[in-house]
Amino acid sequence: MFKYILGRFGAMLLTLFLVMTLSFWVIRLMPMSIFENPEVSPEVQHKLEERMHLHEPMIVQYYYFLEGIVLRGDFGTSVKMRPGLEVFSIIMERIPPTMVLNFFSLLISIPLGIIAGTVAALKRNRWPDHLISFLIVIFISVPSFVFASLLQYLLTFVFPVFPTLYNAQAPNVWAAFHSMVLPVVALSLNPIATIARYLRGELIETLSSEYMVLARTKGLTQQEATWKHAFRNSLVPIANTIIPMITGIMGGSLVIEKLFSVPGEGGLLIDSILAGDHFLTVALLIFYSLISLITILIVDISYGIIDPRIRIGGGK
Amino acid sequence: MKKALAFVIMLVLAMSVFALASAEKTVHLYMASDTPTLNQHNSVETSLDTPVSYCGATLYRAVADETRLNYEYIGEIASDLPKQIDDLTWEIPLRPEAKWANGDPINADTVMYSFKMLLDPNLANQMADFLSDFSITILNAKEYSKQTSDAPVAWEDVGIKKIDDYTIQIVTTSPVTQKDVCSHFTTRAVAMVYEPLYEQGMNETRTSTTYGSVPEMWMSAGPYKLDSWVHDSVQTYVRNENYWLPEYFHYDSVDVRVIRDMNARVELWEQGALDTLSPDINTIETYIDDPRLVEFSSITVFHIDVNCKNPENPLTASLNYRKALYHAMNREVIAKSIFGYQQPSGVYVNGQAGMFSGQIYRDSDAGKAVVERVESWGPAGYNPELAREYLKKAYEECGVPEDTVITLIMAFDESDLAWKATAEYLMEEFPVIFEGKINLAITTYAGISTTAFKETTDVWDLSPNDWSRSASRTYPYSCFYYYRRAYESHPNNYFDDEFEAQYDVCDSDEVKADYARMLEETAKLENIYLDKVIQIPMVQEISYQMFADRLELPVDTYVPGFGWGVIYGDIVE
Amino acid sequence: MILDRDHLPEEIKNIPREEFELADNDWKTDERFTTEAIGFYRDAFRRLRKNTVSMVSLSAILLIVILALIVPNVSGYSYVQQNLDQKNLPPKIPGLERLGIADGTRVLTNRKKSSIEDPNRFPEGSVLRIVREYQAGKQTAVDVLVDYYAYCGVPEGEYHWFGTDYLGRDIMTRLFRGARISLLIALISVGTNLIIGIIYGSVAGYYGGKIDMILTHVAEILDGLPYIVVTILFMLLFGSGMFSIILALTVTGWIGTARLTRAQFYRFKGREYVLSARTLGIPDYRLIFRHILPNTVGPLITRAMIAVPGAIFSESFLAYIGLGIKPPEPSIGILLSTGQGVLLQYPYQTFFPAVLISVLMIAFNMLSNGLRDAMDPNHRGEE
Repeated sequence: MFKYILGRFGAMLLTLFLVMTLSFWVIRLMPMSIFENPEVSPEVQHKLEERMHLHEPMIVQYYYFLEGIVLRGDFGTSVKMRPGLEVFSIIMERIPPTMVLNFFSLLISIPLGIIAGTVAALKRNRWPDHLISFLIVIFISVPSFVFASLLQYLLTFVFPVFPTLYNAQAPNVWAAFHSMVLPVVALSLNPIATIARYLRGELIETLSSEYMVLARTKGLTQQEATWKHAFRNSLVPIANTIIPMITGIMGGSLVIEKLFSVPGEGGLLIDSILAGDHFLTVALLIFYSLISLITILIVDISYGIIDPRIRIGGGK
Repeated sequence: MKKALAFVIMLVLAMSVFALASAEKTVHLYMASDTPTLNQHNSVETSLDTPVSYCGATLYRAVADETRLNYEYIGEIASDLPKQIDDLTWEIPLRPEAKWANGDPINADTVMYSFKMLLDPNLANQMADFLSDFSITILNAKEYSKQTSDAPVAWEDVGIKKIDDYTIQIVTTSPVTQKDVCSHFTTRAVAMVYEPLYEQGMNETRTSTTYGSVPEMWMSAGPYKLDSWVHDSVQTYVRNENYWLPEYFHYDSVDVRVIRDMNARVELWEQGALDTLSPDINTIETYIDDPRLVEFSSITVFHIDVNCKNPENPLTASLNYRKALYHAMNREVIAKSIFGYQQPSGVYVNGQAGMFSGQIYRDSDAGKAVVERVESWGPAGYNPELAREYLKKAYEECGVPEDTVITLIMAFDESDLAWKATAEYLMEEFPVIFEGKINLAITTYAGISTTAFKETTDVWDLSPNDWSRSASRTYPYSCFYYYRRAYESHPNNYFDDEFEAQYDVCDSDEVKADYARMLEETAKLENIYLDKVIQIPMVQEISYQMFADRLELPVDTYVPGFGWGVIYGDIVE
Repeated sequence: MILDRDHLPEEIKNIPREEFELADNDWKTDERFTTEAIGFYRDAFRRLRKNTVSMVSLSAILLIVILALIVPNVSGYSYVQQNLDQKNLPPKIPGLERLGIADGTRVLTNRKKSSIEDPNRFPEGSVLRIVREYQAGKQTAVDVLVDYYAYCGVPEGEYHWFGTDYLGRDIMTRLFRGARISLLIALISVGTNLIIGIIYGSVAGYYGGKIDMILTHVAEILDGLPYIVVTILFMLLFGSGMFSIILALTVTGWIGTARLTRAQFYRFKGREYVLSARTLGIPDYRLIFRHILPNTVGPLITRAMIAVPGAIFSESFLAYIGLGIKPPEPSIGILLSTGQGVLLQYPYQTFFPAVLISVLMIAFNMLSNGLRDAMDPNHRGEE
């Protein structure tokens, strides 16, 4: 088992290195004009480009890039989004709001999703199932920007219950929480629906499997059997939905953060690509890849423990 | 459960009461995107105007005068208006009471340090030109900041000198007025920088500084001090107790939110949580009759650049083809219906140009004659008949068979709603006007800037533009600046000797000294521009702005060069 | 029990054959099936047909597809036809207008009271009633309910069922045209994903070992790239448009299918029937496609059904961040994102696309649920 984990970890590092290399070359080969401002004279531009080694061949720049990251943890300096600031510190500065929102979102969406999915499965084809399934599909189908906009309009404007924007300087915990409710809710609708839909399907499948019959024959009540066998077994594959969910929340937070003015990680990637802040873009790509790789690693390892047949590299 | 609900509701109510109870005068403003840095030396973003004007200090400041229709200059760090010593030399006396928000004194050394750093050749600051060459040109300043190793220029040779601890001397290259000197020292670029932090942020090679990248690395000196800054979310300013001219400023605190989404802005405005709102093309319809809406003609004329080097377009270099395009634009519809209550324009010099020189160029006889010429072709130059004629000539001129169908490519930024709608409109119009000979296809920059796009490819024909940075209220001709060879990032790959020669005539000292002549020469320049169709003018921008009733402004109308003076406003409940 | 056959009495030993008679003549042959044998898919389809929800969903999808094919041709407007005098018209539907919904009226807010009398701005008969009158500064302002069609000078009898957009284009026509585009994008990308994913996953899952290792890692690296970035890169390479969007949805989209296929292969390739087939010398490709792959068909169909609305959803997300297909071509995503921009002013421009995308999603999801249940081998033969 230890060997397996070690192998997976090594593979992850290799992947990360490849992602780093790939994003460096792809992004840096994009047309790069750091200062396309009409007021910045060509001489100044030239000087600044020289300072950033931009006049050297790409392969040399690549060497500087790797050297900086490996030896000094230095991802470079932002040139447009936050000129002068180190890329790493920009990313660090923006993690907290995104983290908090995503954390709360997971915190409410996992239990709610599980409850909704279970209820729907147990009351299969009766009205609670139909209602939940309907809501699930609405939450999955209407894009989050429409939902968020609508929530904002209804709950901050028509019925002013919540503040319109995220409050980054809330004087107390309550105010901070108050301003976070809408973004978190808007962010959670999709994950709740995803979990519920997945669990409903899984549960329905396990409820009709042989071992449930066995469990009943050995004297368990339907409830006991459901709880002890079906439910637990269905929860395992939920781990599978967590990878897309986390990346999904990240994609979602891109929209939500824009609508509610949350100073988080979400909009940064697109902004930096559009602004041509290539150092920041590359670092963000690495950051996002790292997160998804870690999630994949965790899920892989847990799968390796749960179901050794799925381990990578089994025989023919 | 019910108890918990009641508790929550009570808390909400308590919070809202709390919010109402504060009697502080707080003005609520917004920005569409945050300032990238607070280092006023090295960012060209205009969003930096807000923090620097509220929390920074410059030598002079423009304030509204008694008439409420105009503005005047007062010394901020300077104790008095500049004194003329000889033709080219000016002396600026400084206030002994000026100090930073932390109590440190501001004196001639502070000013000298700020200016020296702004011009520093190693730092290569992007705003350096605002000190060396803006409304006055300072002796050797540009030479110093742009110096190369084979032609060094010493700091001592630059026309900025410290006379004593409270006097600064400025030497210009040509005679200027007192007003020019004052206005030169009011921009955000020449606001003071705090030496200890500037030095602290400096790297070993002294080629860049992290001054202003985070709030802790920046020092306030103005009427307000930066209280907090959460990037991409909010900036708050509170009164600076150490400020020496408090009588001009009335707010207790200033709250600037960064709000990207227009719907959110409108909601906040309707709730009274914002004191200003600039309606966009979608919202202007709602507010067009609103008594709180104010408008003014801006210095921007939206236009379309025509690429003259598209290898895939056989007509690309033809003048007749550009003329055909010029006459094919139904500017009335585009300005009124698509851009939303804007003014169609078949000419390129804006409605404010020349205002500071005594007469607006567009109101002068010379300027009016050009507009009349355009109107003689059709409303704002629109004339499908002429367009077809010119296209026919273009086909003959380029030897293109008559039945060839050409598809033009319009490249623009997807997020720009008005231009996107215009492109979609022209897509339908062109085949009708040109009887199916010309089609329009659309391509978007998709993630790269206009300049980067044009560096990558020549395969485009039309690209919308709103560059107005060179447009000036003093010199009406200066808006044509970008279309000369001397400017490196060419918008359209087309140069014309006659046009450039005429630009140089307008730009000569001789013409600059004689405004009546300048109007004539500018009209000649604009006529050449129309003859050669250097680019296609479309819409004169009308800026719309809303101010809350509780906000009392220091002026009754928009004052060019000064604006609405929101910073000097007051809250009246 | 007769233990000693040799010592039986003679008469028993020598019973003549003719004396023997079959005790139970019927018992010897099986009863013939009176019903036909039912294959897996037919069985699944039979159960699917019994599932009302699935059938309703299927009909809804078919209806939308038919509408998408027909409406843009018969609505009387083309999807690019503009009329800038008649932009942002509210919905007006014959019949419903009498009930007071979709009657082409709108409340114009913050108008000067004096302007209502101006026939140039408010043509004869366009003002229905004043909703609110208030003092704003020195003048009287009103919110006024107008017949917006009369206000814009639309001739009597002309209807835009879902209203018009910022260029005066008919939204209903554009919506169904957009549905066509969105469905096309979804079908092509899902189809491509399935093909690539199945082949990739089969090879990885069947051969295992080093090949599996390499293939899985390649997939992981691709998966590590956020798809927004991939999309933008494609936009740079090929320009924005349908092709780039499909590519972007394909680049990482097939990985899920490949994973699923691979896992199914690991599950089935060790089964006895596969081993015996292999012992018989059946070539690899036949083993893969004939013997193992069919096991994955059920889950794959379910997956594809969910992927279709997923692709539509992704397309609308791309449209929102400004990376949608090129104008003037509409898609559901484009319509939704332009609608979101004017949600406060013209909510109906969001409402209709949102309803359509929801119905599509619900239908596809319900159908996929139904298919999943129908294809569940455990339910085989159930009535």
